Amino acid sequence: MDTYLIRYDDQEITSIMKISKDIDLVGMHNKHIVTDLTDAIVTFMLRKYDVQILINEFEKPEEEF
Amino acid sequence: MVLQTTYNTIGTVGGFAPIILPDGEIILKLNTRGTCFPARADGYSTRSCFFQIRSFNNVDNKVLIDYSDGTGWHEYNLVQNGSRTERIFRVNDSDDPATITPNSADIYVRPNDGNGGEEFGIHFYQDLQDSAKIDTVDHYYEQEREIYIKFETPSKIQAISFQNVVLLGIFPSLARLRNLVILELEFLPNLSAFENEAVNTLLKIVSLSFIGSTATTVPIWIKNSPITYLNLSSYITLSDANHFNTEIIQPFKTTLNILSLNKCNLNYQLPESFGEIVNLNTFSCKSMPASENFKFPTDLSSLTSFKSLNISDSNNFPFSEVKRYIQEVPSTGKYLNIRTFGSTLTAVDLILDTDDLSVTTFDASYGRWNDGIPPSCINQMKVLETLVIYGSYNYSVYSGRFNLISWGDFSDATALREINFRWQQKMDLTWPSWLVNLTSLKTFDCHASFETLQKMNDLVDSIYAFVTANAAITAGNTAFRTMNILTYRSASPANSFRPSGIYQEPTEYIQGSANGTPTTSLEKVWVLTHQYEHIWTLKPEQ
Repeated sequence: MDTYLIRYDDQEITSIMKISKDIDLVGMHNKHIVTDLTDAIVTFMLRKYDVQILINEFEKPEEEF
Repeated sequence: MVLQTTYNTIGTVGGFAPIILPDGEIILKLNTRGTCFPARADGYSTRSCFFQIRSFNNVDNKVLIDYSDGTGWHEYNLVQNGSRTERIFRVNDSDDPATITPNSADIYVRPNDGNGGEEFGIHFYQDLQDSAKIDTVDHYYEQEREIYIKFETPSKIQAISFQNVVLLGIFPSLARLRNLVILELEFLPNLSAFENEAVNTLLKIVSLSFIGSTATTVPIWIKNSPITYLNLSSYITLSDANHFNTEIIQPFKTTLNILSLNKCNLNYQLPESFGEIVNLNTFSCKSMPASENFKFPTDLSSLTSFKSLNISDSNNFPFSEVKRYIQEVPSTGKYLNIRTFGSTLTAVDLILDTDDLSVTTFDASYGRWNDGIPPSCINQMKVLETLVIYGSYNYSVYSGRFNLISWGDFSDATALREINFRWQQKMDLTWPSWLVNLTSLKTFDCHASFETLQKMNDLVDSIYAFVTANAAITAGNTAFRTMNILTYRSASPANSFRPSGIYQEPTEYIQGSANGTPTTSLEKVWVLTHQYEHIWTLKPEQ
């Protein structure tokens, strides 16, 4: 299952980025969560955030190589 | 037994159609080979290989499998995976024929039968003619066998998926799984036919794609089902517009949302009735060897939900029709993928007739557009939020046609939130001054894009100079603050370097007022992550 870095502030989700679990992330003291997309949608819906940016990512066609 | 009913007249009990036979008596027989189940069909590519069973959400269920190797029936509980109740028998991605990558997630099978498998999520056959092969991985091992699958409560089975698994001969009828909604059979090159006993089903999602046979007609049991997602890639042959109308549009026009006909040559103008698929959201016709004569129907005005077009690798698909999708389909929030369209030896460009207010995600990867400069249409896309132009990872694609050289100028695409220029080893990634117009930009992905440590350090210098000049030092989600910069992914580690220095606070740094005097690239990254609230992904220290 893909893992995402999701940035947010008091009002909105500001960005979403697919990441590897085992990379070296610096700046993790800044506000964020790392989770899979479905859990993120549930989490932020419960917090009454606009989750459209997450839904857009969820609906994005999977890349094939 | 043939059920002479129609979808509208199937009686239900508690929302589910009753099973004709008592639960437990529905047994599916599959033919396969190899030393383990599932065995990979495609010769060790990185495509996933799995067999997946899903029950309706939160409905306990079990799948039971007899591998015909003398070890009897094996029982596997379906387990909760987020909102789903499922079990996945998966051979994880590996290009090494001798190993299988372990996966620790508990949705994968861990047989407790003492017969191998363990956390690998597969069963090793215990009756192999060559006993030295037992508990080893050989997807090509010739010994064939029948496998029997049944379910504790078949009336509650919602989905069955096979992908890239060795399945031989005829796929068994699933007609008695009356409540099955999802059937996905993909990349099964050894399948020759389907057995079926039904004239209709409750299936909504069907994929018969890249299997070992082709057809000129869609099976009647699919035509008589309320299909919303139909994937017949590399399976159906549709010779002309009339044929397309008969087999696709008329049977599915009232229900269809997603249509995938990849590798199905549609080298003609689609019929006007294409506009009758009024709920069409996504159309994918990737990798068509011949598409130079493709045309959408004359009138596209009824397709108000048509938000996603994927024509990647259909390189000779006419630019004029790409433009018509952008300019004439009256939907917003469009996803458009034209991967490889720019991978030509001569310079090509895509220019729209007018500025666009519909495309929000645009993928133009694998291309030396304009001999290495992104296509002009990007600058015309005023609501574009995500731009993806990746190059050739680790030079893995032949010739030099697959990389950008420079940024060009798309300073008018001011809605951009994410730019993905990964695998662009030949590109000068230095942030251009016009990027200051893109005040919504939050994510920049450039992993595996560095031929030398110097280029990595140069990018850090460039971003540091840009951000310290253009972003506020005070806290808040303002322009060029709270950005994500991705310079490394463990899955594609080539052409990656860790910036020089030690990740530490520079001298004279004061939070909220002074950036100090960073002397190394990593000290600059430290300032960006602390003063400007960036998050960076870096290659780990060795």
